[in-house]
Order: sequence, then C-alpha cells, then structure tokens
Amino acid sequence: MKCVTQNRAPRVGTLAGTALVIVFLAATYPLIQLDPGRNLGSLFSFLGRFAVAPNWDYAPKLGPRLWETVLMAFVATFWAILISFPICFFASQRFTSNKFLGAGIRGVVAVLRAFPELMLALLLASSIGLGPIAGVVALFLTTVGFLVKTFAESLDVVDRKPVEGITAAGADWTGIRTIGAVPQALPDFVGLSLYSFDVNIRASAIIGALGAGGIGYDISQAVKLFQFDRLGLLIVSIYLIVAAIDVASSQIRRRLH
Amino acid sequence: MKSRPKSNVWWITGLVCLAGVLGSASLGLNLGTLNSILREGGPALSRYSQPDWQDLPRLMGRLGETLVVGVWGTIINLLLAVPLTIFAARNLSPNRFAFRGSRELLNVFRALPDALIALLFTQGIGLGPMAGALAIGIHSTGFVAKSLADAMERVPEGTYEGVRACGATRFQVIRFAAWPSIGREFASTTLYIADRNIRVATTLGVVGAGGIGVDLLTSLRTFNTGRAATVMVLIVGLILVVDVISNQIQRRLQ
Repeated sequence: MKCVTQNRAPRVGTLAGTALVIVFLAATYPLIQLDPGRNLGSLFSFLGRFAVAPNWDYAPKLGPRLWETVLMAFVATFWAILISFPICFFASQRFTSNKFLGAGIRGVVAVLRAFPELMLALLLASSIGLGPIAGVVALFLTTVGFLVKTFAESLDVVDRKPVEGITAAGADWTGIRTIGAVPQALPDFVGLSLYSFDVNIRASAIIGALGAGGIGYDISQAVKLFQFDRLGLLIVSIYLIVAAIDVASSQIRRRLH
Repeated sequence: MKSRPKSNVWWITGLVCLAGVLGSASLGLNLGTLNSILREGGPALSRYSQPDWQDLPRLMGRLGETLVVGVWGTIINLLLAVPLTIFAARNLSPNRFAFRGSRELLNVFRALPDALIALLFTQGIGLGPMAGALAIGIHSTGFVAKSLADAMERVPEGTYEGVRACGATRFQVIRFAAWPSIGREFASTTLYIADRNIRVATTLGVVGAGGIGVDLLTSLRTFNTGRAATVMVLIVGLILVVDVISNQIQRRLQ
C-alpha cells in the first residue's frame, strides 16, 4: 500500500537530520547515565514514599502560599501587557512609524527572549536582593519580550479593509491603529496575554523555589527535608490552580471568538 | 467580529487594572521600589560586564551537557508522546476511558513545571543529567501529545473512513490516515519543542539536574561576577544559535 503524503520534498534533509540525531544520541549515551533498571527502581521506590497520609495541619498554610505565587505571576503579566501594548505598534512591520525603529525594537525583544526567566531571576536577586520583586521583574522582562513580538505579529496580519476605510475617513496616526487595527487583533491580544499568565504561574512557582517566596519555596523545602506528607498536597495544589486557570482562560477565549 | 464590543469589556479592563495596581502594592512594588531598582540595578548589573574566560573549556563542557539534556529530553518526550497521542485523540482512542484518562494525564504533565519535576527526580533517581532529561521529557509530553491529538481530531473523518473501508486495522489507520495528515504538524511541533527544551535545559542545573545551570547558580551565589558573566554569555549564545537554526529549518519545512 502506497500512500500519498503532501510533504515528500525534504527526503534527503530528513535522512541526514535523523542520522545526525542518532549519532548524537550514541555519542552522548555514556554521559546521560541512562540505566533503566536502576533508574526505574529508584523512581518507583521514590514514588512509593508519597503513599503517606497528607499532613492536613499544613493545608491551611497552602492558601496564602498559592496566592503569593499567583499574585507574582499576575502582577508581572499585568505590567508586561501594559508596556507591550503601546510598544507593539512600533514593532509591527505594517504599522511602525519608522522601519529602523521597528527593526531595532524587534532586535531588543529578541535578545530579551533569549534570557531564560530563571537566569534573570537569579541575576536580579544578586543585584536587587532576593524576594518577590526580583521574581516579578524577571517575569516581567521575559513576558515583554514575548508579548511585543506576538502582539506585533498579530497586528501584521489584520484585514486591510477596515484600516483603509478608517484612513480614507481621515483618521490620524493613532486613530488608524486603535480604531482600524486593534479591534481585529484584540482576540489575539487577549489570548496571548492569557497564555503568558499561564506560563508565568509555572515560572513563578519555580522562581519561588530559589527563595522568592510563594509555593515554590515550600516545595523546595519539602523536597530537601523529605516531607512527603506535604509534597503530595503541594503538587496537587499546583495542578489544581493551573487547571483552574486553564479552564477560565479557555472560557474567556471562547467568548471572544 | 460580528457584534460591537460589549460595554462590559470596559468593566473587565477596569477591574483587571485595579487588581494589577492593588496586587503590585501588596507585593511592595511602588514608585519608591521602582526608583531604587532603576538606581541600584544599573551599577549592580555593570559588575557583570567583564566576562572571565579562564574557565572556558570546562564551561563549554557543561554547555555541551546542557545540549545533551535538551536533546535526550526531546527524545524521551517523543517516545512518551507518540503512544499517548493516539489514546488522547477522540477519534482514534480505543475507548472513552482511555481517552479521558490520557487527556487528564497530559493535563497533569503540563501543569507541573519542568524544573519542579526535575527537583523531584534529583531526589528520586539522583542528581545529574538523567533527572533533567526525564523531567523535560515528561513536561513537554503534556504539550506535544495534546497538540498532536488535537491535530488528529481536526483531520476530516472521511480520511479515516476511506482507510477503514479498505479493512485497515487500527495500526494501519494510524499509519496511513492519521500519520500522513499530521506529518507536517508533527515536524514543526517537534522542532518547536526541541528548541524550547534546550532553552529550559540551560537553567535546570539550578536544581541539580545537569548542565550549565549549576555553574550559573554557584557563580552568582558566590559573587564570582566574571565567571557568572561568562556563563550567561554562553547560555544566551546557545539559545540564540538554537533559535536561528530552528527558524531556518522551520522556514524550509513550510
């Protein structure tokens, strides 16, 4: 049986790529220390230790910790949206006031995106002190890098007609952008912002583990001190909060479309 | 958009702004702290302007280890994702129970951040690159298997029916109907996730899961600014290079 696929072209490239990956995996096999028998054995005995009664006395403390994690993510995302919104017009290829300015902004945000948030958080913690603020600033910077790029890209693909209409009606520079382009890109803007919030909650939990507070800090303590009765609760609560925000944001996105 | 934006858009925007301002205040973020960040941040960061290249050979080795963690993580991810994708696609899943169960498992994978899973694995299977690769593999499976299963659900039912009408087994349906339909999406998702995984691997060492992240943590914590600067240059360099390569391949795929 012969099947017709749409993508026949990159045959040689695919083969070369696959060969390269196989050579890489073979060469690095010793380094990764893969030993399924031993790894799985210790993993299962580790997972077995989660089978303890949860420490319910600790449960009331979870609320404030989770709140702090969510708040860090929310505040960082909020300011990133506020800053990215005006900047994205200049970063857009279609709506920028100056081609060079646009390329410059896109270059800056590209570099910003190459900084992992964990690295930024550690760097900021060493310069402005460890705490929620260093975490918020780190998340803020990476989110600006993401949102300016993606906001500008969704402006670039809006329909031409409303923009031309509003231009013909004599709108000024700001009017063309805010009345002509923004309403079309708005569902994208909201979707991207919600996605950033979702990503930032996870990142905020991790940054917390390095000492910025929130639930991450408790997790790293519980792991270090082998408090499995707390660890189970912590993991479940992270899952629940991420799932809740997932549901909420898909509801919001559905309403917008 | 069909209807005019409703007036409650403004209400919601207002509420979000209010929450943002109140939230900032409760975290201690105000004009005073902003001013001191801007005033102290510059000089503090300028200490990192002189990379110290002395330790470069060893750090390059660690950078290589980072790449290994990212690539092995992606391989583990694909090994987990391919079977889970089939269970998680409504139209290919053997039964409702397998469908819901695998979707829920993918949600759990996606909800737990890689660095958190890595932290657990460093206790579970020991410090080192294996913990990192496994953590990355598990977290990214949540993303990859979900988007591929969604892609399989979008394939028109007729494509499957045609193959089923020839008397194809379940495996043949997947091989000749599902796989060719999502091949392109599979390639671009894999590429995207490999890029992302290598980026994540650069900082997983912070929790002891292999790679250059551990050097980042130790040199920042011991205020070895020259070495920290070198590590950061290497991390950002690796991410930029991988980004350029994956963009090139992505463009060629389209």
